[in-house]
Amino acid sequence: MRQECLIMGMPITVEVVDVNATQKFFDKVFAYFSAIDERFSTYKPSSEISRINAGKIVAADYSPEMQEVLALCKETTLLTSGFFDIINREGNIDPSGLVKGWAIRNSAALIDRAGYTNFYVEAGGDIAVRGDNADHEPWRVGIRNPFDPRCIVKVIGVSNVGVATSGTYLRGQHVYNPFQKQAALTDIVSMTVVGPDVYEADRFATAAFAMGAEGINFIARLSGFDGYMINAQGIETMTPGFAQYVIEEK
Amino acid sequence: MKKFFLCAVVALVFGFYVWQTRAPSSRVVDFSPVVLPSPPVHTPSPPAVPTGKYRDGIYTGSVADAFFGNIQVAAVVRSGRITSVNILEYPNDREHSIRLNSDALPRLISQAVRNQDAQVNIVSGATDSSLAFRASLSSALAQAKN
Repeated sequence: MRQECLIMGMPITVEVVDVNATQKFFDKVFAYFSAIDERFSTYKPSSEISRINAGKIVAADYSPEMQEVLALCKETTLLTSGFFDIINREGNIDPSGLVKGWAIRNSAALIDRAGYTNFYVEAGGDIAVRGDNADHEPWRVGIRNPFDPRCIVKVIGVSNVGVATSGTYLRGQHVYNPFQKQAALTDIVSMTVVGPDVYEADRFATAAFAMGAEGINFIARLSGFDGYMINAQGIETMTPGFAQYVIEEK
Repeated sequence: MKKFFLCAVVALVFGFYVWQTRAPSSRVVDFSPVVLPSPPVHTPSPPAVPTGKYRDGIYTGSVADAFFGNIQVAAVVRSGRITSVNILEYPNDREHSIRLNSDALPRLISQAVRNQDAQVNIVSGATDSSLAFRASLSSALAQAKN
């Protein structure tokens, strides 16, 4: 059974292959995403993050979830030497680059705990997959062609990983190099990361994209992660381990 | 004592540089260009020229508290730009600890993108989040600033 909801400004899709998933259960999963949106949406003035940016909450009063997310953001900033950062051009805190993958991971854990073993959760192009699809094969994930979003340039077969793609083609240039903030990032247009979980894949895809062409080397150095990058000239570059996921091209 | 410490840092940095440069270069397989279907290719505006904000070299940052443990990074600067970052130390006590490959940099595989004619269950595409970054002042980069 598959359902889609529009939350956090993006379509969120959940498919559970196991036959006994109920409507009530799907509602519970989407309710989790709604709660995340209520807390972390920078578009909602009533959210905790908006109130923090307005100076209405002191650090000691942050919710445990907010503290956890901000600590993870700090760690990611250090790990990527600043290429991942949550202060935007206006000087406000915007952790959404990490929250999405983190929330998908948490929702997948929620579905795990309920005993389901074949499912996926997808939000805005980032995916957590478990087990097999309805054809009893690894989930077939298509990577969008950054030059023509109607087309797919790569198909990978995955079972228990996270997949995240960072790119520029949907909303224009919104990922910045923190060390040259006013310069547009133009040398690469898409960075896909496959890793043990979607939270890790998401935050590293974000940072790797900001690094430009060197980002694929950053991913190559991370044990257990693989990457697939497309540059502005239409050349794709893969880490060697990425090939294990690729389904035979036609 | 100061001299000894300086020599030790230089030796460490030099040793790191040597370790970096033994890695093989990427192999590029250049297929003939692919004709993509309409609409026309999105051509971004030309990139801004880097202003050489950082001095060339390899800079090792201080050990920093990353909440879950310690992190230490080294940044490599060439032509005024950060070309790579290396993780020297990372917390080991986390459930999902990240390990660095101890091997040389793996060979990357490059070719022209080609559209696939295949059915898929899910599509992975660009994130929509309004990601924002600021210049982080890790100690490695503070040392590198002009």
